[in-house]
Amino acid sequence: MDYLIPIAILAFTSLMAIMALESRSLVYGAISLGGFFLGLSLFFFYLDLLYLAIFQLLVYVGAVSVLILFAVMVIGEPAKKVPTPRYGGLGFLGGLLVALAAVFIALFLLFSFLNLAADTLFQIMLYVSPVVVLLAFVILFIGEPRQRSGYRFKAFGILGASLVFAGFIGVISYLGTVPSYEGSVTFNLVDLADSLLDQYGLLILVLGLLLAAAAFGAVALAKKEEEEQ
Amino acid sequence: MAETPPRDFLRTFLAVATVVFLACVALLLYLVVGPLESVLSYLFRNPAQLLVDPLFKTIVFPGLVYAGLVAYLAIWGERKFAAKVQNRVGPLYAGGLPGGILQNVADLLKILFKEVIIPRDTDKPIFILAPLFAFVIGALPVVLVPYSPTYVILDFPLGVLLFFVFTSFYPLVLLLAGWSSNNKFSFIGSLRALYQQASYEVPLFLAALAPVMLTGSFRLIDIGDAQGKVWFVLVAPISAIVFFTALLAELEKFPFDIPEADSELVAGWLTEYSGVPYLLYQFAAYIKMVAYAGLFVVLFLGGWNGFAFLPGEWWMVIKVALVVLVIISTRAFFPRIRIDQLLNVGWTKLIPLALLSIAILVGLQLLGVLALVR
Repeated sequence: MDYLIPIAILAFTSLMAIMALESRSLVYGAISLGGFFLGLSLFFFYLDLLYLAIFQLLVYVGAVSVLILFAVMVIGEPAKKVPTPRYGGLGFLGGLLVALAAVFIALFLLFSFLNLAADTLFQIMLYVSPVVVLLAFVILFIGEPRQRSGYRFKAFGILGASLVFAGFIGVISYLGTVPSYEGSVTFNLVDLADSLLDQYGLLILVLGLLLAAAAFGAVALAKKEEEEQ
Repeated sequence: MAETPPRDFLRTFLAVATVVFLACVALLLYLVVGPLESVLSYLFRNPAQLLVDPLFKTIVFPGLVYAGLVAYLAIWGERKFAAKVQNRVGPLYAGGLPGGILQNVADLLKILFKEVIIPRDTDKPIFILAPLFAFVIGALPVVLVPYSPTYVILDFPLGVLLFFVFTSFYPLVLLLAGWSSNNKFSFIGSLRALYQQASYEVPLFLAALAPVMLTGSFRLIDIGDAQGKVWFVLVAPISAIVFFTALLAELEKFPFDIPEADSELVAGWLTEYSGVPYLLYQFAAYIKMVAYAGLFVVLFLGGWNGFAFLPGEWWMVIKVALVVLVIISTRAFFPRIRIDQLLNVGWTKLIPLALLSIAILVGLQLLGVLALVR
């Protein structure tokens, strides 16, 4: 019965991620993105990473998804509807399987880095996920040629994203353990601040640089479009 | 083949109908009585523990019944108080009880029997689900407010943050409600409400940081317990004022009643809603008011600390009632300001004031004054 909780969260998160990508209405896509952020924070709650979960909710669900929804609503749907192809069942099934397998692998890596891998569920995941990946690629390659190429790109994209995620977890586990709440009632803020500045200082610096680069890139793109107009 | 006489058909039909009806009744009894009996036996298995049972706490005291009762009295009090100040009579006749206190029951019945109108070009799933989400999200913060160390439904170690998480979901619902109505006025109204709620969350967070800094904990019970000697409103008065102002804006109360300005706009983002969905929105707004009043009391007004002749929960109830009274009395005393004035006040006055208060607290801590109040 304990396995049902992570599987339910996994199913919810994967469904929301797929809907965010595949939804025809931009607004429904943005709402699904909010649901996906919510599912991620449920994972953090399940792992007892309360601080991370709360900030995931506060920043991503409370602010970022509101911002995206706001932008989508103000700009409005494109007046000329882009004709979206109706996806065949096989292609969709293949994409779904690849996504599930990718999330399985990422979760397995996460749990093994956190030394929680003794659980049977994650051993099952380890054995199941290569089979699922194989099956998914077979389905993708025998699918209709008109449809499969898009799904192939998406499948590789999702696999690549899960590998990046696993690498991120690896960096964290190399630098030290993830700060955990561990069921005690008191939550020491001073310890958290210390660990953020000492133990994870390098990581935060790198992330800050990444964000700064992203911000500069966004400004550059916006300026370019303005010049074109 | 001879046709079946109608009387026989009627008899068979009646017999089948009776059997089906009895089966349905039996099924209903099985479905309802069994769980009801188990709930009752669960509740009465230990009468001494009944009042601190989690189920009792969720349903009755700091939970649904209490919050609903305070919300009900607040709606009545808002009408009656504003009427008295403006030299009108206000609710008077309904129910024969003094002060027309049953007027809201009459309004509730009226609104329950109204038709739920869904306009043709709305986005139906979102239009129907938004009021439900609003109700749930509006009622969730009540769970976190402690009325004493025993009377708290969810004792969460990061309670202050979780409270703000729940309140930060509200603009999302409001935006969806305005957009799905497919009405220019609803959408513009929801954008105005979004500006207001999103920009006043910042001073609200910053002001709530002061008690967190003074206590060193995000847990609401710790914050309440730390005010045994001195209430934090005396230690950090600027933060308390900023928090209360931002609270009025978050609750869309006067003088920040801009999104739903009932005498100027139609009803802002609520224009297309009628009947039960409208009721859900209004109920969510008032339940949210009870939760915010409780949070203000716990953060700044000493929580359950009071004189010893009353238990702590009663002090908390009295203080929450007083804060609710102050919140609803603003309708009678203040004019409505414009949206640019509102945003101006929020970004250029309240946020610097909240930061100033934090700076003052840090200075007091360095000088060693804060050690006296602990």
